Amino acid sequence: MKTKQNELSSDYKLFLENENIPFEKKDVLLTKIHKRIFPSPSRVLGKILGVHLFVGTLSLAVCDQFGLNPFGTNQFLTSWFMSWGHSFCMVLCGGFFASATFLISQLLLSFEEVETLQRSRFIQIAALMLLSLGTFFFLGAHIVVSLVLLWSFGALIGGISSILGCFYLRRALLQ
Amino acid sequence: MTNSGARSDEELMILYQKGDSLAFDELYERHAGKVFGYLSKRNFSKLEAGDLVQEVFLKLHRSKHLYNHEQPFLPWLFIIARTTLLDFAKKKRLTDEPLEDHDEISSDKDQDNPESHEWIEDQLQKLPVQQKTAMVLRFYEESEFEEIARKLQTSPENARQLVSRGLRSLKDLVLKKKGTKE
Repeated sequence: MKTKQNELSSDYKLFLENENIPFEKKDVLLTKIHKRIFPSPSRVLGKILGVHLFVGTLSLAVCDQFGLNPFGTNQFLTSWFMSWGHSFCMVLCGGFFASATFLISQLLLSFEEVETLQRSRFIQIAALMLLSLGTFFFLGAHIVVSLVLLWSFGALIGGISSILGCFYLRRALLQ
Repeated sequence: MTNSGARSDEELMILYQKGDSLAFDELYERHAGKVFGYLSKRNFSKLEAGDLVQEVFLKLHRSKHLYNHEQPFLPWLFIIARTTLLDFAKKKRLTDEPLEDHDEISSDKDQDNPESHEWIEDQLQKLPVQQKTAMVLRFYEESEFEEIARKLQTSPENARQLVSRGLRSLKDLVLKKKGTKE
């Protein structure tokens, strides 16, 4: 074992000997690494909004609030949420709407993008909420401040917990 | 945004763990040449060595939360570079021949051989962080126990114990592995 230790020790010395060797493309490499490990939050937001458009449209299939019923059923998620009361329904709706997007976006995002999402989570969730509320408004929903606040609270909680949960899970899986 | 020029590697790692990208740039500036030099002596083309440098710093990024700033940075970076090298060699199925000068990169068979460096290094990775660092400092850097104690911010007696326990654990693992093989 002693011989092996000496060999390993010499390998480490070999590593230390290479004092700042200049190499071609050092800066180009740094730019490449940078792009990969620090993706821009706006690029991540673009992807999130793309996923949200898809997930949001799909979620209307399980909510009868906007008159869509692609499966021709009278079993809606809204009915189950409403059984908890109107206020709680708004909170659950917000939570479901935001967390579904962030959970499904994991299929598209790299770990570094998830890390950026985690770091800028409040801005990302706020952008998602504003876009969703704006869309609801244009679809004819009556915007009532108290209900919007409840919905936003649900979206915030659902968004934060799904982002953090996914981030820590993926980080653990990487090791 | 920080003035990272006068900071130690360990301090830069703390900043980097908090998301400071400038601290990462400074670490890259300081050590990319070292990593490149180490890898390029292993019979890789410059292109491959460049790709591996990228891989090493990507691994460093992905495991930065595991780094304990009370421990020296360079042995940690060395372990990452070496693991990356071995992974790459495994993928490429490099032969031993061009690497004999540097005692590196062996075949897959060695990964399962308790007499091989690779197997011992794999086991070294499994030791608790303090023990692993003490072992690296003692046997890679050939540091004295006082030096190890200073770097780990502990007493020389404790440093000696960490190394002793690490050695004992490795010895047990070697004996166990040999027993399994027989």
